[in-house]
Amino acid sequence: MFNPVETFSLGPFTVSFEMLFMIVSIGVGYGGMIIYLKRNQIPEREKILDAFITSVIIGVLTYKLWPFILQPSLLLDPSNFIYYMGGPYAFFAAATFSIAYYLFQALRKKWSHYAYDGFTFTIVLASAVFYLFVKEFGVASPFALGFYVDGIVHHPVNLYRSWLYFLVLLTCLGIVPNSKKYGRTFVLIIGVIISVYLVSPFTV
Amino acid sequence: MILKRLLLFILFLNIGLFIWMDLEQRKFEVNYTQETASMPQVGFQAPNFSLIELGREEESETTDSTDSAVYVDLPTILSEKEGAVIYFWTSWCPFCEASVRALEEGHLIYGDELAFVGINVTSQDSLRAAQTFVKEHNVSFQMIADETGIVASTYHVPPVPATFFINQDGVIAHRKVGGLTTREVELGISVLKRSGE
Repeated sequence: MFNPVETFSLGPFTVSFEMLFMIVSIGVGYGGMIIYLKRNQIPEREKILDAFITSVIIGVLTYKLWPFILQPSLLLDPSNFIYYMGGPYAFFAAATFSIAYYLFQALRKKWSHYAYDGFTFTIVLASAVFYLFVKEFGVASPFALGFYVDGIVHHPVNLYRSWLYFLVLLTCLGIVPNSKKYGRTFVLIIGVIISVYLVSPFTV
Repeated sequence: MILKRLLLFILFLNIGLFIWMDLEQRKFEVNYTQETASMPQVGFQAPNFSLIELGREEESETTDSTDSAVYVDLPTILSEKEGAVIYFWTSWCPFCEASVRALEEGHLIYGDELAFVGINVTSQDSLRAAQTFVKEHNVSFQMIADETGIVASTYHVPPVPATFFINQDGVIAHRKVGGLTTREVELGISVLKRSGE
């Protein structure tokens, strides 16, 4: 597992492990979506995958341009496009715009419930993979297993999240038939909400 | 059918496990008095440092590292203000040049409440270049030099610029790597203030 704030050099770029595994998890999620749609033999598969890719691009662009949305005067100097990205709430804004675009496409093109189930499945799978690799230190723990910092054991919150998300995914795929309209989307969302609630006492 | 039952059994077993862990955690927290660990991450105690002011390096050779007139340390900074904005930079980094303007503006507005401290990562820079940078950009907030790079390394810097918003309890409220805008400084400060409430 990797510390999210640690970085490594890739040619002229400095890449944080958080960023690296975010890209890896999106890739795994995309792969998961391809398999999910293929196994369910969805005719509009290609269009759904295109919309997914576009929604990821919208998310990346929102994250990059967030400082310019907050402070439009930055647009006056083109060099600012090199310097600035992200900032407070940028990730939530990027995720919101990204999901909103996908949902808009799904509603507009009247895709079947598989498009929603596949998308939710992808998000939960990507999150589970991300948390598996990127450390999230929790509060000091009474248990022996965890991350040691300054001789104190801390809850391995990322592993809790990853474990619960994988469990929710497996349970959902195992107990909810794919023919059940929006059943998997509903179970996954409820499962994630419960997981977040269960893990919350251990987070900083 | 058996698989479904098994999956549901494992799911409910885990829910029970997490509820039990929560109960144990509550019992543990009643008797727990230690501070949070020191780590350069949001929610944790900011690692301490004691560094010499930029431009006073020669005095450090004849002065004890506890001399507050020459050395600047985090607990002293936090005891004097409601929080601190710690900014790691180098003179050769164009992102730092862009960010220092936003921080200077922030310092002019919030300087009475919060301490603004720039830490030059001198191990990756030169003292002369750092001092020239400060003069050229009319930086009015305090600047200190990390000549060995130990503090930067503790805070996982580089990359520069990296900015840490630390509340009065010494807890990191917000962390930003990369260029800072005025609006981001304001938002970072609002997160800092909320975290101390």
